[in-house]
Amino acid sequence: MGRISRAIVHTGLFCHNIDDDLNTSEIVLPWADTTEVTSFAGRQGFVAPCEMHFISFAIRYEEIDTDHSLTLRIYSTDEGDEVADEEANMFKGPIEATTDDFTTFYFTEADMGDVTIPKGKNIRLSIQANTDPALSVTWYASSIWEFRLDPV
Amino acid sequence: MAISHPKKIPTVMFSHNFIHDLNAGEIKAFPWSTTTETGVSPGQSGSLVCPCDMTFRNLAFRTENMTVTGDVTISIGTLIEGTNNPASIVTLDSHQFEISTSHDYHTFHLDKNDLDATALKGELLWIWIDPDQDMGSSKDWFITSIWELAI
Repeated sequence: MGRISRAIVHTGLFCHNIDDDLNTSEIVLPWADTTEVTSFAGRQGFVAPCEMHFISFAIRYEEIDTDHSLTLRIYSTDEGDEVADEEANMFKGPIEATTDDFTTFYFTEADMGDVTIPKGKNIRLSIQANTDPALSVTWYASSIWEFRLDPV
Repeated sequence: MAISHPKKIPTVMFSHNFIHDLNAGEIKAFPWSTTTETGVSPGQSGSLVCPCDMTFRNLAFRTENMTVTGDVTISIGTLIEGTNNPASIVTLDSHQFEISTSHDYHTFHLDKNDLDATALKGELLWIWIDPDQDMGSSKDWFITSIWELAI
């Protein structure tokens, strides 16, 4: 009988928590610590060790001062260059100061579309508010990904 | 006869290692993405927002050189949406075990029978340790947890 091979799927959950005064800058989230940046030049990326598929992203607020919307963007950077190519984006809003304190918002596959990053690319996640939402507070963020290991 | 296959439940794993001089009654929350332990209150190192329901599966806890004997209690707790008040953190379950001087470089294994805990989507999640006495000088504590995801 021939050998039956199929991809093995693992799941990964990453913690992207930060303390920050977001303002309206695009904030690139960390994958392995709690240090965010406002450029695509830092260590705030995750190199895909196999094909990776986006499942969901959750972000929980603390106190909100101003109504705003929040955009999540997913980027990938090809092997051989350093340009972050946008794969998908979606905004949630309005997120309201009077009702949404300490609330969690979700970005799912249904929101972002089929985001599948090939092996070897560098993945970055960013968030950006259209109006400064709050002072410096903690932003609790997690993402879930599928890892599709090649058959060996 | 039907052949039943084990249900495949997605699981994820976290390293919670940190270095600390644990003193009596000094409650420390395990970090999720750093090596910085914290108190049990909302903050970037000790809290994880659950993107889906998460059920505790396993935890491995490894000691270094133990010079004293004492009990430690490992607990899992959550904070619902709508509040940031540490007093509202609910302990889902706790498990106490003794670490003695004969447990140098020993790994303790906890599973769902020891800690029955499911954190709900949107909640903040903590795991913390509460020693009943000074556990000796500053040490590395090696901790790994596994969680089932309801996705």
